Amino acid sequence: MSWLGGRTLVALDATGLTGAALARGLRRGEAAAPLRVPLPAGALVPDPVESSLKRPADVKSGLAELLDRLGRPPKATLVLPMGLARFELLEPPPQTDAREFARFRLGPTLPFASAEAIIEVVPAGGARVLAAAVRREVVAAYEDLAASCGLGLERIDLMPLTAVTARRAALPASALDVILGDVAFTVCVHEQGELRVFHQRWRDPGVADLERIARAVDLAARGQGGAVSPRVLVLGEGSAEVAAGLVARGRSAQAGSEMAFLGAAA
Amino acid sequence: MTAPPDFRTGHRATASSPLAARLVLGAAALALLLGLGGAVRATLARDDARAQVESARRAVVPMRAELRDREYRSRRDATWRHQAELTASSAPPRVIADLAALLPGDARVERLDLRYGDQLELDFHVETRSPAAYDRFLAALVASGRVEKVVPGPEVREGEAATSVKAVYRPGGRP
Repeated sequence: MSWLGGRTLVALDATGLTGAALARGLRRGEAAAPLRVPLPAGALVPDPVESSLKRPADVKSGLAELLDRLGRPPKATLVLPMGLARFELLEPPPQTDAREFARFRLGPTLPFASAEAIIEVVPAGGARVLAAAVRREVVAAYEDLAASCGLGLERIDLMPLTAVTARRAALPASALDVILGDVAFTVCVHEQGELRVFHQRWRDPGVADLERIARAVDLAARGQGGAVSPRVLVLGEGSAEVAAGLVARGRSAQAGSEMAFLGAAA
Repeated sequence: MTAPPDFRTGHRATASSPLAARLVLGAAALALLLGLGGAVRATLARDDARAQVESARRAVVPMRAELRDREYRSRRDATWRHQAELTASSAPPRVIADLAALLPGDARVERLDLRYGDQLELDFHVETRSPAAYDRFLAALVASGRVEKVVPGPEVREGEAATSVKAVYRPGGRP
């Protein structure tokens, strides 16, 4: 069982659950193909204020099935869906605790009390950090879900932080990424080792969705004065379709692998 | 190397950084230690103060007894000294002589009691041939300045007058 020597990732989103077992040690980086269990529509709806688990029994059933297929790992890293958190690219002053600075900056913008927020930061190159704030009770619902399935939690990560961190680990000089979630997407511009742009937008189900993503990509690329490679890397569920849609609209795009989407969580 | 993000609710008990949390915990521990130290010192100081009060109380008891004894002896000595002085300055012959000087020719003292205490109290029985003589005697007695607090007793005024008189002798009073 691969999880004995590695880690298990479980990513949740509105349309389904994705699980992957990643090896460690000499076999580090090896991974079986991610397993996916679809969820009934409306069972999980990412919401930054209220619990996303609208039908907890359906989600619990899906998670139990995924864990069975993964070989019942005792612990896993849970990757929460995009759309739960508020993000901001920050450059904390020197000698300042980045997380406290993020609380100071993000606190007033949250739709709930700052004291209820769990705030984390990840390095974004240079003095920059990408800060994320998520409501404690929203996370607690997922913790309860994991506990109800007998799953211990090694860590809880959050999309798209997972993907952004993974991309930064093997960063090209310049890159424009689109990270897809079921209800939201993120456009990131990396340049000279720094995350320069981070925009998160709600998705618009239907034909307008691709237009919306294409406009966001154009806007981010223009903001960088054309210094960024025009080739767009699309990550996440449905990345192939979105990349094809962008190509069809005259942009250069390609789909990334599922593990690139999940890789940082390992 | 930066630790990967972890959004577990129990991962960080507070929003503070680990350093800040450690500082807060350290400060709290220090405050607790200082508080405990202060409490211990206050308790020791209180016990010490109580012991001092008890010691002082024990020390005061014999001093108070000594004071009472000294006051008693002082009062007793003063009384004795006063009586001795009174006896010396108001010896019976002197008193008798003073009274005799005040008696009219038709009056006589039948009995005289002298009681020496804080003051010399006189109690004497006087007889006169007439009430008028008795009245003159009382007037002279009061006017002499040798006595005060003169209290005449019941009188018998049937030709002769006989009565008892109480008074306080004033040594060195007006002659």
